[in-house]
Amino acid sequence: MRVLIRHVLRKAGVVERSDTEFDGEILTIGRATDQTIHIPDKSLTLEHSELHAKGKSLSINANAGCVLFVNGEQKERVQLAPGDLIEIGTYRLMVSDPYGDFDHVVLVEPSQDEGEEVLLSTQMVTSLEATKLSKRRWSWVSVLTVFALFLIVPALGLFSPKLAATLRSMPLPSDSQWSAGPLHPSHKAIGNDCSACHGMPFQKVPDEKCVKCHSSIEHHIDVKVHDLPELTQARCASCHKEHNEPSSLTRRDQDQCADCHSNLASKITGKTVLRDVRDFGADHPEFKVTMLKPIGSGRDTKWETVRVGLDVPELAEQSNLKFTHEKHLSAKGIESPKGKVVMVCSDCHRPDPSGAYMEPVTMEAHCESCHHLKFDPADVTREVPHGNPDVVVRTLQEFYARLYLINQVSPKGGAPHREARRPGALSLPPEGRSLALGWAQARANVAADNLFNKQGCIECHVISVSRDPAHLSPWQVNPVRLTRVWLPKSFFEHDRHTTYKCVQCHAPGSKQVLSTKSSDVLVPSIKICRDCHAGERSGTKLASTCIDCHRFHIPGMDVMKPWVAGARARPRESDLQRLKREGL
Amino acid sequence: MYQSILSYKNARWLWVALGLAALSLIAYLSESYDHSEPPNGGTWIGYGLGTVGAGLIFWLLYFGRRKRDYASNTGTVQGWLSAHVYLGTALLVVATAHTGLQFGWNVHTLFYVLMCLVIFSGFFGVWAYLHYPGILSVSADGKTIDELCRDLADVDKQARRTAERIDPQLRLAVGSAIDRTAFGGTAWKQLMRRDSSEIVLDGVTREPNIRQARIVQLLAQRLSNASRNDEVAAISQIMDLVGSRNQILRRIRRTIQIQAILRVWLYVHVPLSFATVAALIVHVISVFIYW
Repeated sequence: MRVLIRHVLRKAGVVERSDTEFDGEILTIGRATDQTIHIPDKSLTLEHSELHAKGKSLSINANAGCVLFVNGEQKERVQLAPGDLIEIGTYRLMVSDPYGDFDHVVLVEPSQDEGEEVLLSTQMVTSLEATKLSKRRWSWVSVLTVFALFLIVPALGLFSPKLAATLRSMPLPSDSQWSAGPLHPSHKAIGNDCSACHGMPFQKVPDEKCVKCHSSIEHHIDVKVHDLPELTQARCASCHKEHNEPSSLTRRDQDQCADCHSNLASKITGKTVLRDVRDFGADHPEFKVTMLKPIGSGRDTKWETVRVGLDVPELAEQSNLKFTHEKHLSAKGIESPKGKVVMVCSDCHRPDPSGAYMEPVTMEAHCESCHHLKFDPADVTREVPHGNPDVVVRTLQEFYARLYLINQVSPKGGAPHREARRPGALSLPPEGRSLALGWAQARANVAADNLFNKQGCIECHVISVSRDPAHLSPWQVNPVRLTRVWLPKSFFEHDRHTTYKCVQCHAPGSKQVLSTKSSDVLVPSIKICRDCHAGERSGTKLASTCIDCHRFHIPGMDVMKPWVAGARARPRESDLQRLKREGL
Repeated sequence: MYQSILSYKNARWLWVALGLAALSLIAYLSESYDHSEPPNGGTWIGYGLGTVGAGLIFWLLYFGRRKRDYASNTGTVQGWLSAHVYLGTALLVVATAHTGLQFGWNVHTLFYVLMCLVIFSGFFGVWAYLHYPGILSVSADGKTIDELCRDLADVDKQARRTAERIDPQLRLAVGSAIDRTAFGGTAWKQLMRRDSSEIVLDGVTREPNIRQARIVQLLAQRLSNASRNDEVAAISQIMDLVGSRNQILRRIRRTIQIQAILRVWLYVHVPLSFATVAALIVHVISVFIYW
């Protein structure tokens, strides 16, 4: 039998046909592609049913378990006639009138179900794309929100400082949310006023903004000596970084300093006292102490400062004081008015209120309790005042004159002798007065000679003699000046090192053998510091960089910003300048 | 042969990403070692990391364009996706190194947080793509929702025909249960497999018919009272059919749910990607406004 199978496909109003001819009796129907009538419906079995064509008769036979409907009724096998409609899955098979030399014609097309045949999936929302969610809309909303809240509104403040202030004062988007991190505590007072430091948009913070407050910050060098562009043109912000966590404000790395302080020979023309330094632990030179040095002697002594390396053999302090630590700190003790006492360092050396330095050692505070200035064995309660030799001599003369007079008016035994005198007139006759003075001066000279030259001043001081009618005392004490700040170009704080005993740094390794001379300099060598401190990249020691001990802005130098040649504002005194002004 | 995006070409992009992450980490550590200032985005290394990160972000965003560019010959989309996943992950390290671990309530951290949300939503997407398609092929038997609905329609057609042989009121109830079967709906309902099916009783009262339980209950009640043999047969046949349509509905809901999970992260990933790029622009501009 010849059967025409016509597949009909309706697509957007266009009808497509594809015809297949079949010559035989049994036409198989199913999802498998080898079937005579292939129905691409996944819900069907591979072999669904069969059409039997015998002469003019056509019948359909559903395979076991397969469902088909003929003219709306579920059937398993049925005789077909032209006009019959067979529904298999989502497809319809229509038996048509015989055509030409075909015995049977079968139209196959996807069913155009209407009404209840419409699949539920077309009525229900089964995918996110079909919901109201929209990636595009949310993308636009989020982009515009970010731009509006975090760029446009805050940027409006750039055009109007007033608006900027209003925005900042309210919980509105403002330029404070552009801040990359908190300000250093010392800058907290600036608050959220970005324009206090930031000037024109897209320009780096200008130095003028810094010197608005820091108007007197000193330079690092004397520009007249070294006109280094690295220093005269450097921006404040190249070393001082804000908005960082942890807040540091100042760059602390040693490379920053070593950039200039290494290979100095190639950078500085002419002589320099500076030496190459890159790393405290590796190549820092031995410390140089700044000491006082007397010029001349007696009343005409002048003082100047000298800088001497601790590694120089001739290193010696010239304080004009005779003193030995060995005797005073002897473990066996030292004689005192109260018997033998064992002294300790802190009996004389006490930290000053800053904690950095030591209080000055003075006769009155530290020596006098043992070193009495008695002069008369008959009256051990009296002492001469420490200080000016003229005052010492005058005190002695007055003491002995008074002694003479007391003895005159109150002779041994009997009633006091009274003489009538005129008011305003001295009771002692002139010859009596010169007798008294002569006696007192002679006694005073003996006592002074004893004090200055035998067992008083001379124990600690250098005495010189020079007669000068302007001065009562021919003896002069060479003035004593103890150096108080040995390392004025750096800072060291004693109170941050109190876990150590004094001798661990000042007399290392020698608890018994103490300094025997007053000229000994007991400032610790750099080797002592290096027991604990090393450079920045030290693995096991305390990493210490240049600015842990040295200042960049050096007191006494010119103002750094804005730098004007020759403008010596001297805003701060250096330690050395202060000491000089205070008479060292 | 099927190859996961993670193992694409022996995971070559994994090595690229690991290399990039390692370089960023080294850069960060060298900053810490330098001591000049705390590691931050404003040093030269910080600028370098920031530039690499910004370049990565624009490149990652371009993937959205590239995957639709069917005519493009620059690599395969699979390769691009593999690179997108790995380099997107590496961006996490690059950007974190750029921050110097300094965070605060500012646009810069906002940008970082947005970027992290995009990356983490991407992680969810990778997990979903690797995890769910397998489950989908088991649970839905490889059928699409439309195909499952066709199965359902077949069962419904049989059920309606069979229902012609039962009590008219119950027939109406069966019809309404079929008519008012629901699945899907809002994104939430799709994701939660919410069943908002209903049934109409006596032509007026609407009651929930979750898991078709109500209609089964009605049919069972009727079954216990039925006396005619053909009615008993019809009711039990309908109950069978309700059972099989319930099974199909479960598959449909599970399929909808899995397809929704496979897509839903994109509704975070894509809009936030654009927000991240906007925040990146704000970040760069604001940093240089107040240089």
